[in-house]
Amino acid sequence: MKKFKVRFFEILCIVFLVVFIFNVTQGETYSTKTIDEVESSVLEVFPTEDLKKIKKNKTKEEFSFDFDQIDSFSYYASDSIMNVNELLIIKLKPDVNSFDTEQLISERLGKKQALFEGYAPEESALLQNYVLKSDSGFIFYAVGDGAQQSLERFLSVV
Amino acid sequence: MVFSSAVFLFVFFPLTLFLYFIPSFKNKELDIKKKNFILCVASLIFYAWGEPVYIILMLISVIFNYNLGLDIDYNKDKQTKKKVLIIVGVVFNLFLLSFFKYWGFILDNINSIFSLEIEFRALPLPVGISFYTFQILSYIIDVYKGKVKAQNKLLPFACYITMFPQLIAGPIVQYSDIERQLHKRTITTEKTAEGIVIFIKGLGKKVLFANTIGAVYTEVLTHELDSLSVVSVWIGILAYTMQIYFDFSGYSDMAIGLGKMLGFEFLQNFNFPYKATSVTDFWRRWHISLSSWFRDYVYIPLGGNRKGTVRTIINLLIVWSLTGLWHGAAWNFIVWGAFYGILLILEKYVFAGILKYIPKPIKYIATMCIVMIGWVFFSSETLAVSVDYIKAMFNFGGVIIDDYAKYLLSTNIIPLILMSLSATGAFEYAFSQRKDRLSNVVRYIVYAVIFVLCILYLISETYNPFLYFRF
Repeated sequence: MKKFKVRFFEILCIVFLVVFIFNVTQGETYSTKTIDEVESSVLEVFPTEDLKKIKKNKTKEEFSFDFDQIDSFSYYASDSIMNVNELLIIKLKPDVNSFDTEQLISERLGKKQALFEGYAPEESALLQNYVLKSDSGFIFYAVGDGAQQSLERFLSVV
Repeated sequence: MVFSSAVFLFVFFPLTLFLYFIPSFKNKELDIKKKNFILCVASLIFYAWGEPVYIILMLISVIFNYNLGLDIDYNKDKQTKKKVLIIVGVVFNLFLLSFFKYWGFILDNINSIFSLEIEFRALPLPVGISFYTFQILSYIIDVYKGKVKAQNKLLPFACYITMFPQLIAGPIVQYSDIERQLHKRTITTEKTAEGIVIFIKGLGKKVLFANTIGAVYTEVLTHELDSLSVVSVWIGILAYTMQIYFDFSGYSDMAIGLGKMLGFEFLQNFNFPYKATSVTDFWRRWHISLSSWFRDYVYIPLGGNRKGTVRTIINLLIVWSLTGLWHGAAWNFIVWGAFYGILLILEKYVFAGILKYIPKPIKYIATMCIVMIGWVFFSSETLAVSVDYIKAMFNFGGVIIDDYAKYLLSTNIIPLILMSLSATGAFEYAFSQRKDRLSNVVRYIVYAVIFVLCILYLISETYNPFLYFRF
């Protein structure tokens, strides 16, 4: 009877394990694409003539990201304060939730919107029509004329 | 929840301790059962605090392995059945560890090698899975070998696996070391006081040393490698060297101190590894519980050094690659492990004769340099980043020292000296020289001050990572 009980619980645990694994593996997958692949595809539709690629320390200054959560990134922005166009693609590390990073982007965007409101209507409109989306371990953020098309390209490539 | 958090220090642990000791039953057996129950429940709450979903995984693992241990015991005279059961047990536990820790890594490599695009859902790593899986494996293997009798009560077994002092970051406690203590342990005022002292020492190491110096390494990393001078790069990795030691040994001390307060004696996990004068010596002093586990459950079963030189070398390479892999699901960890495996082999078979003639200071400096280079692999996100960092460390054709390096040195020289003295046991030695009453009073005042400083630091600072949490 004892042996039966023990064997019963062993099998029950294996069944529970299978059910548990099935449950935790449902949900968003993690893309196998590299940041370079996503970037090169998006850059085909997002204009970056007046923009330059920004390095890590400057990006950290701009957004205050926790780079322990970030696998890789690509950030394009302008040197000019009046040019609000920017493109940011982040690939998060596999076990990281995108919420915190998206929150930082939203906060910075909010401050920028407040800055331009009332005196720079074109820049304000671009900032209002921003795109911010996370998918498959990536975060995409863009402000500019090509924002919507580049989002569609981003979603198709990841 | 981590030991160095306000919730743990002021709510969870005091409450647990209160319920652990009160009420105290005169019947010793009943008292131990009650203590084990409180410890188990507290441990589950502790784990669920950070892992409300993966607590289920741990419970499944505990119940399965408890029953498996009994099953192996019931079949101890049936060799074939026993063998099948242990294989099932090892496969089950390694599957759990592999799936939740290594699945992404395995798929990434399959995708790279075969040019596939298999997608997967990246799963958060269950906290402490590497530690409790190894503890469970040590238990079922020892039951199989007949070294210990299977635990026939679920509560003590659950207590052993889930015990919060060592659950999420070790030391890895082998069942044979703790079996008696699960049923009988003495708690005295002296042991509790000793436990408090060890805990505060660990807290100080973690909060005052590791967090402080860790911020220096993080600061260095915000700069592009090619913009850093050689000295800056070395200061960066020296800072990490100190951070990881004080972080991990601090946490181990806290675990040992907590265990003592609860009546458990855990084995030492660190023995001043930065006093080592060879790589072999270093690994006798660093994460002792892990290297003991690999020795007892991998190296010796593979044959150890009993099957000739070639086989010993292969065994060492396997053990050390697995040691690296245990630490992380990435190639830089495997390379880190293999790096030490190769050095240990060289020390054993090539340099053994020469080493005894080299002056101790030179051996010490060489060992520390090797250890620091090893930490580059450990701390970097990828193998490529590790290689770049090491190149920067030896870029003697570039800028050797610049204003940034001088700034780092001038602002961190005192902490680094204090940490070096602590890491090499100078303070321990000084404390141990005098055992009179006045020295004891001074000692306790020092520890009280350390505790207060830690609390103030925790309240004011937001940088409080724990590096070994990721295992």
